[in-house]
Amino acid sequence: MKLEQIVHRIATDEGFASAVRKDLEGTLAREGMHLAPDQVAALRAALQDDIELSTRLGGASSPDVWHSPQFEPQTS
Amino acid sequence: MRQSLLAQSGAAPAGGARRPPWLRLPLLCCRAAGGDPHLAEPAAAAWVLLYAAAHLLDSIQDGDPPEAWWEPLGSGPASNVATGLIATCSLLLTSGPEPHPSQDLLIQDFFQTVLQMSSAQHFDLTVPSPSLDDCWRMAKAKSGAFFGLACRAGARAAGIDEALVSHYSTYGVSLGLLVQIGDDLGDLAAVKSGQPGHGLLALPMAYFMAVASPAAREKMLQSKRATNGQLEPAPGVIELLESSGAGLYLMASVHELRQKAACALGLAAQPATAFQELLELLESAPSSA
Repeated sequence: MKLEQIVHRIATDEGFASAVRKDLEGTLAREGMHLAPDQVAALRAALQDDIELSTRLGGASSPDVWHSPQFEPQTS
Repeated sequence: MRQSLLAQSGAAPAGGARRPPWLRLPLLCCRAAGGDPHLAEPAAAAWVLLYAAAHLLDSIQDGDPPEAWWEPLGSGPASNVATGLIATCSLLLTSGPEPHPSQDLLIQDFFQTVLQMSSAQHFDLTVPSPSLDDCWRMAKAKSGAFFGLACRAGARAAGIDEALVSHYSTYGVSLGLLVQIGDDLGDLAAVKSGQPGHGLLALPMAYFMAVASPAAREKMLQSKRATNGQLEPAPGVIELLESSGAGLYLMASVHELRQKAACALGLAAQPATAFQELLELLESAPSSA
């Protein structure tokens, strides 16, 4: 399974998203979803960004990833 | 120009705009590879001119709003300026006081990269709905190839083995992809805050079309038709992208590319100031385009 398909399921299936946030590798294994180790690490980091962002925004249900400080466009 | 490239990144020249930190990539890679950055000056200057030419041609071909300096000229004369920049780039590569051992390889690499970028641009301009894999291939063959060239040129100037040069190339290609993702994320943030965007959101849109249901895809096509495909504030488009997980996908891609680049750098570069600056570029790349 490709990374984009797993990410889409996280975005559209609350139960799956919750399980993934608690135990990423275990959930992927139970669902028969295989990712390369570097992709698992990248997904874990992105999910962590998501949680931190959500916390900063006061627990918004839809974290506003576009406005993450690291992605703010710079004026030149 | 060479003098200004050797100046510290981020500092604005008198009366000028702040330079993106990655303009010094060839010099940083040369230093990280244990060389004297002055040896990479001709390649660094040529690479900056190639960047200016590619940026100008891309703007004209994409129909972007003209920059102030070429707006009164129009796209024809502006294209001619780009041709002149590419010719000057060629002259700079052969302008050193004495031929560098890797000069032939450097020149060949420059123009093979230009061909690779042109080929990807042709695909980009002529294929209306590229797949997600197509989009990654195009980004790799344009931004990725361009940044990979800068790093190879700098590392070769240090006179290191080609096997080590390939690690700098991997670092550069990953950095180029990070800059590309940064462009898309910057456009999304701009559109969402009510400002006009400048790009076509290629990666998030291709992600959406790869994963969304047929009904959601149709909804997206309708939203795009409502704005003639332009990146005007279109809440429907942004909401669809957000709900599909496009942001999470791009963030996971950012982390994957950073890991890959840092790993490649660790295999080749000497832990020194330049090494640290190159690592820092990976953190800032998505916002430094």
